[in-house]
Amino acid sequence: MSTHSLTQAALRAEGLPRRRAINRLMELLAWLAAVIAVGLLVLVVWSVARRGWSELNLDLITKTPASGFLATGKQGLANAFAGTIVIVLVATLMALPTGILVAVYLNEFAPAAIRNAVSLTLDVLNGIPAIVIGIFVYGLFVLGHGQSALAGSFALAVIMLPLVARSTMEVLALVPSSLREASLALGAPRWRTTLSIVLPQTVGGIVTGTTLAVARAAGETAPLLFTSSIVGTQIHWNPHHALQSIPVAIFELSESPDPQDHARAWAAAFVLLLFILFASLTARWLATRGRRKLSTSR
Amino acid sequence: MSITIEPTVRVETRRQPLPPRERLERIFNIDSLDALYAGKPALKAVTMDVYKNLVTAIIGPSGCGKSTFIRCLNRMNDLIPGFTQTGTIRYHGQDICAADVDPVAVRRHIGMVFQRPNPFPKSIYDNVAWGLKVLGMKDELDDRVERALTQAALWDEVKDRLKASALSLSGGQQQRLCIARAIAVKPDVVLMDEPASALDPIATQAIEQLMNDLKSESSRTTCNRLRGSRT
Amino acid sequence: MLSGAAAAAATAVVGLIVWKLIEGAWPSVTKFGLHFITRVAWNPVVGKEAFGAASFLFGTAVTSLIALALAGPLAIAVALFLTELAPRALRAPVTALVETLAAIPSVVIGLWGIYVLGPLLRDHVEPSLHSALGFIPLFGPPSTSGSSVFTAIVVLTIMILPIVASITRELFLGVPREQKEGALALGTTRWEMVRGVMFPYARGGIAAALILGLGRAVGEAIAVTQVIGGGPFIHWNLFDTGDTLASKIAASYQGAATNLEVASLVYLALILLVFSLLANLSAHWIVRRVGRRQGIGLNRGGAA
Repeated sequence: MSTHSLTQAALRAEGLPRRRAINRLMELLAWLAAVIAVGLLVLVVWSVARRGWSELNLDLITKTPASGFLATGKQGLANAFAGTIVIVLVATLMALPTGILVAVYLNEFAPAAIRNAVSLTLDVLNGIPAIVIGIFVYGLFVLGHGQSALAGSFALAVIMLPLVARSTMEVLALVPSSLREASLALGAPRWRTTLSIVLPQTVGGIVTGTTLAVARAAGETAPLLFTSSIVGTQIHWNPHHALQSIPVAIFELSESPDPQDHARAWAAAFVLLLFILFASLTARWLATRGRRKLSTSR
Repeated sequence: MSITIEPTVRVETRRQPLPPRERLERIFNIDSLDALYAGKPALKAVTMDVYKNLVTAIIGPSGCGKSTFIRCLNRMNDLIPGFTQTGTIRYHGQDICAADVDPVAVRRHIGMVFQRPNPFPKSIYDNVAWGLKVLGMKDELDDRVERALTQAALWDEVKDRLKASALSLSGGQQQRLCIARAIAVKPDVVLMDEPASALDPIATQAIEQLMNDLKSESSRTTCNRLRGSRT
Repeated sequence: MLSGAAAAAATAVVGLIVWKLIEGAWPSVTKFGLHFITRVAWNPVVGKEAFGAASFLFGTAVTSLIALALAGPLAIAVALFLTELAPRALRAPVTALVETLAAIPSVVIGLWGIYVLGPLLRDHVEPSLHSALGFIPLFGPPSTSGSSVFTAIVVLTIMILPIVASITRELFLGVPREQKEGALALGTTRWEMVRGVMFPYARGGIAAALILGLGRAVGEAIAVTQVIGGGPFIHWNLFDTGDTLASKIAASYQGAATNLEVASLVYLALILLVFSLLANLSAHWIVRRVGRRQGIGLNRGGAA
């Protein structure tokens, strides 16, 4: 039974038009899904941009929120900007070296069983909700001692650690073993090999991973709610005090009944979003450039 | 290495002498076929005919475009990004590269067996049955599966483990399973792209014997490539 | 070795988290035991204190599961688009766009949810759904504030869509070309090939991706608490306010009245932790079992 005719009649007998219709329907659904996904992104970014842009002014960064009920004059979120800079910076200082060390250990020194176990632990750590991490650090550092930006930074560092470690591990794995072997063959000890030969090759990847981790940390609210949220309105830089941060400020302003507060929330959200989008795009661009360099240098 | 396909097709059969040209039924007529990958030419001005009930072999040095050529015959090159072709390929007089021809219909009638065995990660039975079910040949499913596996000289070896995973078979068996899968849906033509190249000599012989048997049963023309010509 | 110490410390952190949470929740655990999980209550009034997680568990279950049911198919369809259907020039940019959706901070999505999505749903979507399908208890009368379980579900769907989509996309990219060509060469349509070859191939990984997405939804505190309204009740009306485990904890950040209430909040966090550990470990286990065949790894996952 072989009809070797591609005519419509022959094909209809085999049910091809119906199968083709189903195929077309599925294609349309997939296109629709993509439009929805991109549309949602555009919608959210556009909303934030539109409302944030009109409220954006220099006062946001230079003025502090007014205290007291009879607040007059311009208000801003200077304390939140300062606080975020301190908190994220300290968190990065905590997470970056630790993450690199963990990645180096896992990739260069650890036997396979330990590597799998610690890798799993990192993945589990990555999956713990940020609010739980906040409660954890609250119990660890805040209870009995009071809030502080340090506690907040520690919470953020716990969140950043798996991200830095994982991206460093990925890029370490890309370094050809021939490099390591050449160095070891010359008699250099393992730690020296890692430090002078392997790590320099990974700087690009580490920068990319760190940028993404910083972008993530800058936007986190939940870990800071219990560790660094009872704050004054003045600008402080001392990490031993609780400092205001942009995400927490947005959170509080969003729940306020005052429309002026909403305006500042939108403006701050706009700035935060711009920073994070810029950081993400930069990281992505660095990653593609790094990949290209690695492939051409082989 | 120059890219040439021999202008005449050498057709070898072990048993019958070649019928005279006038009595041969033409299945494919390829005319001035050019094929390019992202602008780089792979085939230039190929013109030839392929006839029914014959094994047509394309032989040439590696990289000369044999794979490209037979993939043109069932529109498989459509799946390669950047691929373009000009010229006509007529199948029973119909241009299969015309804009209004659905490649799905083309591949329904022109089946293919690939260089490396690629069975689905399903059971042996399902590998053969899946295509039949999707293409609407669900009646007498068990019989059809058995017939295909028998024709592929695999039935005896797998008949009591049809539910086992296809990946548990040896390379040669997997390739015969792929052949069974291809012929189960009763295509008019089976294209074979170096089907034995990944196999050992014994499995190769089995495949070649199989091709000869398929050719002589019902209306089948197979195009294939053999490593090293035989007389 | 210094780096070994760092790795040990990283591992120890997880254990420390578990220990600290148990320690913090202990007063509530000893007082209420496992009944905490089944009691519907949240009364901090001294003398009549009663705390229970049941209403929050219910809220978490409803919001997360429905969000997963919405985001899952959507994400798989997006992944299919990105790997099979999109014109090649569009693939990289649209992939970047979908992954950018994951980078938007929860508080920004929550802000958008309160003032853009909430009013939109309250004024247009919920009334029409209520009038059309009001006989189903799910679609009861809309709340006046715009805060509702339904808004939270939409927000969660937006947040877990990119995670599931990007993992599924990598799974689809990993399906070997010979498999796809083998199916198409039989004369099947592309959808038939997807259904017969790609889905079975990626099945395990998709399950793991969905579990990770669920974990993300369950753990989301900030955006949910901004839009869900609060209230320790169990009810079926999606358009009314509600609460989840994570959002209850976040809503109480300004301080709890009594030590017992604090301990009960930590108890809620402990339940969350247990769930997220289960979700992560089972996703890992699935990938390990399937990974033999395909050699994929999950490089994503995370909750905010």
